[in-house]
Amino acid sequence: LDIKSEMIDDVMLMRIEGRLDASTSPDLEAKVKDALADGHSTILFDMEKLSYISSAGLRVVLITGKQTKAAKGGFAIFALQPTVKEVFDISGFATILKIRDDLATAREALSS
Amino acid sequence: MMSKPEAPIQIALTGARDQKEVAAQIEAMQDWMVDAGCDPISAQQLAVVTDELLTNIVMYGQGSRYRAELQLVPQGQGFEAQLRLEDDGIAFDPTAAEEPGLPETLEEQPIGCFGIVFMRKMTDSQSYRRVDGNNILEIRKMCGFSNN
Repeated sequence: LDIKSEMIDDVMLMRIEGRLDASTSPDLEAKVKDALADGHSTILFDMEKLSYISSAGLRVVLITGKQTKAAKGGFAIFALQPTVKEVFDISGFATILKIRDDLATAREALSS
Repeated sequence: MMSKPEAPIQIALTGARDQKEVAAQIEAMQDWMVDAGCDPISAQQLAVVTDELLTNIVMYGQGSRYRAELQLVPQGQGFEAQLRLEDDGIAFDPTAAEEPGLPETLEEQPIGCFGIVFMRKMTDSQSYRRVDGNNILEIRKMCGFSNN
């Protein structure tokens, strides 16, 4: 798993590449924890290059959603591959998270 | 262009000792399914379900061994994937576990308990039995054929 982080204005963008499973999801969880500790409570996940997500990966996505909300920030994910989007749809997450097609619409969703 | 196998083909997974080794086995299984011609969404779904089950067996089952066998049986326009998991860990029947309802809000969603939902929604049938101290779980799922 490769995670590249960058700031866009006051939004922390994390570009996630590879497979998000029980062995790699702690890496993402740690990055989110660090971002929140540094005061970055609005986070975007770019999942264009995420090829696989397991329930352990979903757990970290959910935790990020809950923690950013608790910190009065925002959270959205975008550019999901069809195979990954199917997992979100079946889990019911598609109805409780802001999932968008691209960066621009994901940023708009943060303010809605 | 790929042609669909005419006879059943099979892969076996065993011996992983931690989450990293489970993850490597799941990736290999998923690649094998796609290489055999399974449509990528079905391959991903079966990988997610197997990932959950194997992780539970390896991390929490307290057994000494497991074996997962996946057979792809050509059927109609695709395959029937037949997954059989056997382990000697503590008795656990995932088919009997209560399925949580779908969340309506982020706050309501508990962290975890996706495995049961995935197994039921991503596969067509599931059966469990306990035989001579072993858990035996059999799962079936129809997969489309993809010749890409």
